[in-house]
Amino acid sequence: MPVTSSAIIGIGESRVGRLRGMSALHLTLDAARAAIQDAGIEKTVIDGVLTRNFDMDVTYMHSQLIAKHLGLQPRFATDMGLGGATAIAMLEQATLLIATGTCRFVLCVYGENRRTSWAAARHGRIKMGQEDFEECYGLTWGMGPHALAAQRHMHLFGTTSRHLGMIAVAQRRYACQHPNATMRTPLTLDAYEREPLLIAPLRKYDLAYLFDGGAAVVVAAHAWARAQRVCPVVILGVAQAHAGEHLGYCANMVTVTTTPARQSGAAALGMAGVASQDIDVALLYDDTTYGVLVQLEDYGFCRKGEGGRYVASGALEPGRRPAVNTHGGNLSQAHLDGMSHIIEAVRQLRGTAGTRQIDGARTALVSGFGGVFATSATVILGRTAA
Amino acid sequence: MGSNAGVDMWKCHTTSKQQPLPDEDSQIFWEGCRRQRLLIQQCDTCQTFRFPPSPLCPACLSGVSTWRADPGAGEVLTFCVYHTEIAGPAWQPCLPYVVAVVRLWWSGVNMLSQLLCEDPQRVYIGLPVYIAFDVRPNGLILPRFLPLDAADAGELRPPNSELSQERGA
Repeated sequence: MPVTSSAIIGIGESRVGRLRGMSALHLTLDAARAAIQDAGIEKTVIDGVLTRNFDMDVTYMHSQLIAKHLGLQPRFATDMGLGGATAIAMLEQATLLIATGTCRFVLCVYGENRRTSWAAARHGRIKMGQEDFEECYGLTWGMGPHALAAQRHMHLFGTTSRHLGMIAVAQRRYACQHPNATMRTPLTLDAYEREPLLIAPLRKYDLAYLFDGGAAVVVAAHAWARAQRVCPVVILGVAQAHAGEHLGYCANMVTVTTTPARQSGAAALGMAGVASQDIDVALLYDDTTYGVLVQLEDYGFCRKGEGGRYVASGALEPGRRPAVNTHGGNLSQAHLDGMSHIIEAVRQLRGTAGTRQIDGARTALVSGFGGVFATSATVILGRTAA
Repeated sequence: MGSNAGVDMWKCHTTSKQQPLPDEDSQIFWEGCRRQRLLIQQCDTCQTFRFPPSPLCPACLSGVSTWRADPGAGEVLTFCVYHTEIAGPAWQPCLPYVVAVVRLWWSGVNMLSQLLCEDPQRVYIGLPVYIAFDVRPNGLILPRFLPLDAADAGELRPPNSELSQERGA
């Protein structure tokens, strides 16, 4: 009983890495073009455009800018801003647009050059959270709040730095097999532990670094995709949950060890009619290793507080289900604000993930976090026969 | 990559320490700090305390509130220790420094701040702390925290504090 009737028919990625001289616009357009080509459609049929504004160069009417550069005249366009939950929120928006008959083909696209941007020097940067009550204390965005949350988890449940290291090592192993990954040097647990504490309790390889890159998907009606005899990846369930916090003030979110992934996960799994045990591949949004650990608990792959022991039991080793972050994640492939997690899920379900392929992968869970665990989005994707 | 390569990517784009800029909603709070008083908003309608300052009570949407002076004693809910000047070069002389979330015992709100201590190794979750006002070059005064002497903490600590629970008090 499919609740949604939409499917991902095209995926595209730009190059990722330190791409000095490539604008955020350029990376966005490269990804969009690749997704349109992968979908095998004429670009003129695209009647929905969903974009994510540039962090470094916030642009008025951003979605229209992207549509113009792609030569599109869509019926519906908007830019969406839910941080790392944006990509999945785009899938949800696209599903609604298709279900209501507003659109038939929706392009969802992301691109940033946060690593090498010239625009940052020109315009400064977007206001992040309650800066006046956070940054003046030397708190840095992203990793600092995760360090605060990890410390609390360690205190309550006995989680250790070594547990987090196992996540970093497992994801790097996959990234080494990914042709478009930024971090492809093998990582051992010893090497992880030799790195000094950067923001205690987190070390260098607990943290995802920003790179330049773009990624996009095209969403269409499942019925159309079936009629074209392509083998689409169906959106089985999708949901958001908001903890009632802005992306900061993080003082409240980092002191609870349960995230809104618990709510968005339960809603998306319920919509899809599947359980945690049915998930073959989990692509968990990872600003830090701790972010992965807490979601393993919140999605029900293990009990609350047992994430460390679950990882130490070998749960991330090859052959175990669910396989986790088989592209390397933000930590080791590229930080594309969650779009890369969706693309990897599609590759796994299509059976085109190369040496990273998980045999017989039929159902994938993909997550995104906006802010410091303030917003969570979850999508369940499934493989269907043509 | 070298051992610290890549860290600069998350750096804030400032050469000096970030300073708060009081705005319409926060100016009373910062004015309180200038007089070394920790003012926390309390809703007149439903009595809920809230921080940081905001125009409406998120619990009941009342726009009427009173600024109450919190005595500034509380305990560490969680903390992290910066060993890197990732927040900008101006932070280098301060390393290592401790960023902590403090639960204020009187108003019950959580405050993100810095914990001033000689040895970060001795910071722990549940550590009693009290407010210390720190004068910045631009005349603004930042509320920060110091470890609270155990004897003094006894009088101020409420019975349901994390520390008293953990020690079975």
